[in-house]
Amino acid sequence: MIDGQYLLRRIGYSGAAFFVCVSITFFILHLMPGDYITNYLLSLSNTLPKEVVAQFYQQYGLDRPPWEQYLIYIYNILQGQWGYSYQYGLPVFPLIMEKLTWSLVILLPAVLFGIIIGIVLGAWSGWRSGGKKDLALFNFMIVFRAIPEFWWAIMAVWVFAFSLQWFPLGGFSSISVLDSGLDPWDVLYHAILPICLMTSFVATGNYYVMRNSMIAVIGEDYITTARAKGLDEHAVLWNHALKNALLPMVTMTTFQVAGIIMGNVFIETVFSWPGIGLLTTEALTMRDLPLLEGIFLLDALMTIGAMLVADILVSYLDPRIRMGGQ
Amino acid sequence: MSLLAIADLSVQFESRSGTVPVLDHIDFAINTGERVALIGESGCGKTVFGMSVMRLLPSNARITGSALYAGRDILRASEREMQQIRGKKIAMISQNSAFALNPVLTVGDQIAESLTLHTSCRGEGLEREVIRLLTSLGIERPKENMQKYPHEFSGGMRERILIAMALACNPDLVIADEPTSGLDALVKAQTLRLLKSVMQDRTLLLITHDLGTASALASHTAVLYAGEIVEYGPTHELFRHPMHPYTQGLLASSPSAGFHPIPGMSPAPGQVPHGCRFCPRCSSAMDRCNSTHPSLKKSGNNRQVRCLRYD
Repeated sequence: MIDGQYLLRRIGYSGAAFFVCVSITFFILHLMPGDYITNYLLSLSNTLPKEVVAQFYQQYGLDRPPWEQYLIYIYNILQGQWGYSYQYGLPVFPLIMEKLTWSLVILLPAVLFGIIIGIVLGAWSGWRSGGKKDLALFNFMIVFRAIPEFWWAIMAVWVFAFSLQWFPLGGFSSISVLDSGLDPWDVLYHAILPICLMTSFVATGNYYVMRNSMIAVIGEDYITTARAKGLDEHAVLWNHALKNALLPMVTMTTFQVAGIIMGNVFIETVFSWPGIGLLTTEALTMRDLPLLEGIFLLDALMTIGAMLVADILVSYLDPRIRMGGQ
Repeated sequence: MSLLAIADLSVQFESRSGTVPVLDHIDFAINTGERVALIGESGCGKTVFGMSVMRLLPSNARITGSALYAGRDILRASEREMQQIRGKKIAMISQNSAFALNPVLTVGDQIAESLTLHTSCRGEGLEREVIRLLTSLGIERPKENMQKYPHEFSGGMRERILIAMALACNPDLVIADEPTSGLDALVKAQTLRLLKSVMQDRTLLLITHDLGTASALASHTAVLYAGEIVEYGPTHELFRHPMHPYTQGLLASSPSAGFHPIPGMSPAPGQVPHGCRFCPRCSSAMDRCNSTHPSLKKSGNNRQVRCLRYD
C-alpha cells in the first residue's frame, strides 16, 4: 500500500520536475541558431520587407528580452495557453492532438502488443536459458535488432507492399477518402504493416530485458527453496519466478507507453503517415518554436506522469518498496 | 535399516574446459533419529552433496552411484517422483536466509505452499497449521506475522521461518545447509538452541563449516576433504580424539584451541594429488602418502578414517 503523504510528496516532486523541464526546453529551443523568418520565409523571398519582419517579431513577442518571453510563456502555459504555431497560425494544442491521434493508431496497438509479446518471449527464453530453442530465438533477436528500423521498414514495404502487393505503399487512406470520407477499415488496412513493424521493434527491446531479468531470478536462492518444497517447474515459474522477473519491466514498459506521445519518425517517414513524429521534424526544420515547445511540453507531462504511475505500480507489486514512504 | 544409504556417490560438473569432479565415491548412511553433520572447508563439496540428495543440482552435473531412501534409489527416481519426496519426505533448510525466501510473497503464503502441495490442509485448517508452525518456532503474534513479507523480519526470524517451512510436512529427513550463516553470535546461539530442540526426535543432515554448530547439533560427524569423506564417527568421540590429521588440524585451527591454521590450501576440484589428498598439507605425512591413496577404513568402535597411519 502507498500512503497519502508519500503520494503527495511524489506529486510535489513531479510538479517541480515539470517546471524545470519546461524551463530547460524553453531556453534550449531559444538558443538554437536561426529562427522561422531566416530559416523559412527568407528562403522564399530574399526581399522580405522590413516592416513584415518587424511585425512578425512584434506579433509573437520576439522583440522582447528572453527573460520576459520566458515569464510570459510560463504564465501562459499555467493558464492553459500553449501559443500559436508560426507555420499554421493555429493554436498549438489542437494541432498536436490531431497528429497525435494518427500516431496513436499505429503506436498504441504496437506498443501494447510489443510489450506483451516481448515479455512472453523473454520469459520463455530466460526460463530455458542455454537451451537450443532459447539460443535460436536470442540470436535471431540480436540480428533483428542490429539492423536499423528504417531498413526493415523499407524492406517490408518492398516485399509486402511493392512485390506481393498485400498492403498499400504508404499513406493513411485510399484516394476514395475524397468522395466517401474516412473509412476505418481502410485506415486499418493502411496501418497493419507499420503496426506489425513497430510491434516487432518494441517486442525485441522488451524481450532482452525480460530474458535477462528471468535469468537473474532463476539463479536466486528462493527459486531453489521453491524447488526444494517439491513444486513442479510450472509452479516454480508461475508462483515464484514470474512476479519477481516482471518487476524491472514495470518501469520500462510504463515509459514506453508514455513515449508514444513522441511518435516514431522512421516509421512515419517510410509510410508517409501523418503522425506527430513528422510534425516534430517539420517544426524543428522550420524553427516553429511554439509548436516544438508544445510537443515537448506534452512529452514532459507524459513522462513525468509515467514516472508517477510506475512508482505507484511498483509499490503495489514489490512489498519492499512500500516501506519507502515512511 | 538406514533411512538414507548413499553408496559410491560421485558428482562431476561438465564445463567447457572438461569435467570437474566434485565428490568422489562417497559412502554414507543416516539412520532414523540420527543427526549427522557433514563438515569441511568451503569448496569441499558439502553443499553439492546436499543438493545431489535433493536432486537439485544444475543440469551440467553428472551424478553416479546410488542413494537408497526407504529402499528406493532416489538418484534414479523420475522428476515427478522427486517432487513427491522433496518437501514431504526430505526437506531442506537453505543457506543464507536473506535470499532463500521469495521477497514478493508473504511468509504465511510461503509456508502454506508446502502444506497445500503435500497435505490435505485447506482453508482455516491451513491457517491454523501455519500458525502452529510459527508458534512452535517461537515466532510471536503468528497471525499478524504470517501476513508480513520476508524483508520485514530480522535474520534470526527469517531463519526460523525457513525452519518452519522445512518442518511443515513433517519430513523424515531434514537437510540443513549452514543454518546459522550470516547471523551474529547471540542470534546464532539462540537459533542453534531452537534447532536442537525442534530436531530432537528428527533425522538431520547438517551441512556446515562451523565446528561449534556441528558439535552442538550432531550425534555423528563426517569430515569431508576435497570431495572425499576422510573421517566419520560419533561427534563427541571425533571431537575429543580426532584421528585424521585433517580433523586434528581443523580442531586446532578453531579460535578456542588457539587458532593454529592448517598450512597451505585445499586443492581445487580436479587438481587433487594422486596419493592422499591431504598429503601436501599434512604434518605427519609419510613417504608412501605421496603415492598411495588411502581408503576409508573402519577403526574401532563405529569410527572410520581415511589415513595410511591407521592401516
